[in-house]
Amino acid sequence: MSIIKLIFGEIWFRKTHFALNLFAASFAVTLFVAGPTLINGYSRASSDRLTTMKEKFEEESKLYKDETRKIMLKLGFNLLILHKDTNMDDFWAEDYSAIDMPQDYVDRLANAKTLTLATHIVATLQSKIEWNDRKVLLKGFQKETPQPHKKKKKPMGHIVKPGHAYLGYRLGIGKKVGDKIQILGKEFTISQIFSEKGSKEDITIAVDLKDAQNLLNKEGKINQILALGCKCEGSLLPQVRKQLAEVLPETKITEQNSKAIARAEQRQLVDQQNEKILSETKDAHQEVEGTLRTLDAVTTPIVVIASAIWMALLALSNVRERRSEIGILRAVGLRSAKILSLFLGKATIIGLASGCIGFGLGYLIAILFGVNALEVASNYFNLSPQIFFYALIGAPLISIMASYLPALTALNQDPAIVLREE
Amino acid sequence: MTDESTLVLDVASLTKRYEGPQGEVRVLSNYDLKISKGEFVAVRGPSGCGKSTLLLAAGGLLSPESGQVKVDGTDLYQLSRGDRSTFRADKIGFVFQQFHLIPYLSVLDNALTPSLENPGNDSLNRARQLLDEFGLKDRLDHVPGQLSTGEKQRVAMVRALLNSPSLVLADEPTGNLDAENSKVILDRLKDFAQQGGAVLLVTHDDQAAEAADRVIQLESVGATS
Repeated sequence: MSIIKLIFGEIWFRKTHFALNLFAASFAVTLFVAGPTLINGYSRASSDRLTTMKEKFEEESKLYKDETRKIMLKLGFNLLILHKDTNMDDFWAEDYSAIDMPQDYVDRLANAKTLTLATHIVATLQSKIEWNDRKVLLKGFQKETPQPHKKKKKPMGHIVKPGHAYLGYRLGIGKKVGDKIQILGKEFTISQIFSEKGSKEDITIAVDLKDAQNLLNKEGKINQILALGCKCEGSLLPQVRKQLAEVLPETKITEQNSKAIARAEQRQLVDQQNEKILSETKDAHQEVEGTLRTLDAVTTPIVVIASAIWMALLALSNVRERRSEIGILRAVGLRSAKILSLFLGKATIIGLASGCIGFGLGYLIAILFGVNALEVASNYFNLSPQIFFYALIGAPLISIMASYLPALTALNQDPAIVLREE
Repeated sequence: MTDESTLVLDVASLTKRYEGPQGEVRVLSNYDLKISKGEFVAVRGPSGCGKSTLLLAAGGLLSPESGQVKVDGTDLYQLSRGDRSTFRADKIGFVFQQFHLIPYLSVLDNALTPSLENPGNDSLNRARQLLDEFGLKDRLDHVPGQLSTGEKQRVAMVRALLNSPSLVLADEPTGNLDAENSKVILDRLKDFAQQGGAVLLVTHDDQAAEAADRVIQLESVGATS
């Protein structure tokens, strides 16, 4: 005969009482386990979802950026640097600035480390001239001036050999590469004839800068510096203006090629939209997670307390039911500690069993609810050893606490009264 | 003169009161009782005269207001609650009218309950031997619900005798039994006394009283205010 035999014998004898206790404790443990399991699973799934979205958006943005960069390069220079006194009305009417600048401006620009937003700097001298009884645009191009503090890139702009010329489409009609032509009384060899562009390029003659300076009697002069807004941002001008004012206060800048700008702005818009979607999704996930946490924080303690009260009442009824048994055990000499162990031992068994049952049920409920209501894949819900540990320790503790006072009433019960009454 | 060396139960100047709805009720007042080894004493008296109170006080289960209860020379109420329990397990056996068997334990396990506090190697053999002597050999694995009232009381007797006590306190043990079963129980109590034990029997039953060596008539002390 042992106390353990007494405990298990009583459990078997009063199965309903045991089942009710087990139900109460398991219910509390189920909720205790389901809450954190659900929240952790949802949190992991949300984090993964957001990471995937972010990666997708970043990939998309990278593609757009690359595409924009290519378009920008294809479209050519998008910045024009002119003398600050240039009349812009005349400039747009004539297609060139009437006010020249010293050629060394381009070196000052290229060497300025503070100029970070413009690259591919090319000095030009442009003017309208009479050629073969028509007005054409003569453009002298200097080879791109390298920026020593920047990474080397494939140069942009026309690189025309001295004594050679590139002809626009309309000017090249009836001519071929290798033909000799006269420009303002000097002979040039045609190196290239451009395809039709549908713009003023079609009536342009491109030559080396020095040749143009000779032809126009403007030695050491330029009137336009071409550059590329290298960051491809739509609202580039204010920043470039600021940088330029520090390096070349005698100049001003204007932007061209609105198509490229629009493209860059579109990319920015997509980025902003994606960021907004990402932020809204994150907010929505946080809101759901917050609701789950609040619900868990409110519901679980209430259920645990209610279950503990229920268990305490059941334990009290158990003590009353066992008055005679306790009385006779006292009469045959059982000490208080052993009487107490009868009740607390039973409470421990209920706690351990409910810890295991509740853990399993809680995990299943978290999966069922998570998969069906929150659309989270089941693999996000992990069996947490930590939660299992808490359930296995916490459930017996609460069960023992709930049974402790009723067990004390059993101890304080006067066996004489019970044995006489019975 | 009582021989002090053979004295098992020595109740001296025992007083016990209860708080009743109409004031304090004194059920025992300066009561004295001595029972020696080999003595079978029956206590009779009207209801409420304090028979059961005397029995429970003698068993260390009911603290008196004043007086002494000595069993084998030990003053029970000078012991701590835990020590009194241990002493009771070793020296005193109880038999009640209602048997007080534990419903979910087998006959054998019910008989063994006094060994829960001090499990001895011999408890199981002694329980089997006693159950055999009481004609319960074939009932060892039965639970109380499967026994007749006579069998239940016999199991309660085995439980009382398991630890070979000095004193058996029996409260109306034949109250629920037929004549045949009553005789079995009374004979066993008589045997116990003849083998050197002491029995205090509380009863209304004439047959039970006749079996005793000495019959004490307890009168009502009455209510005091």
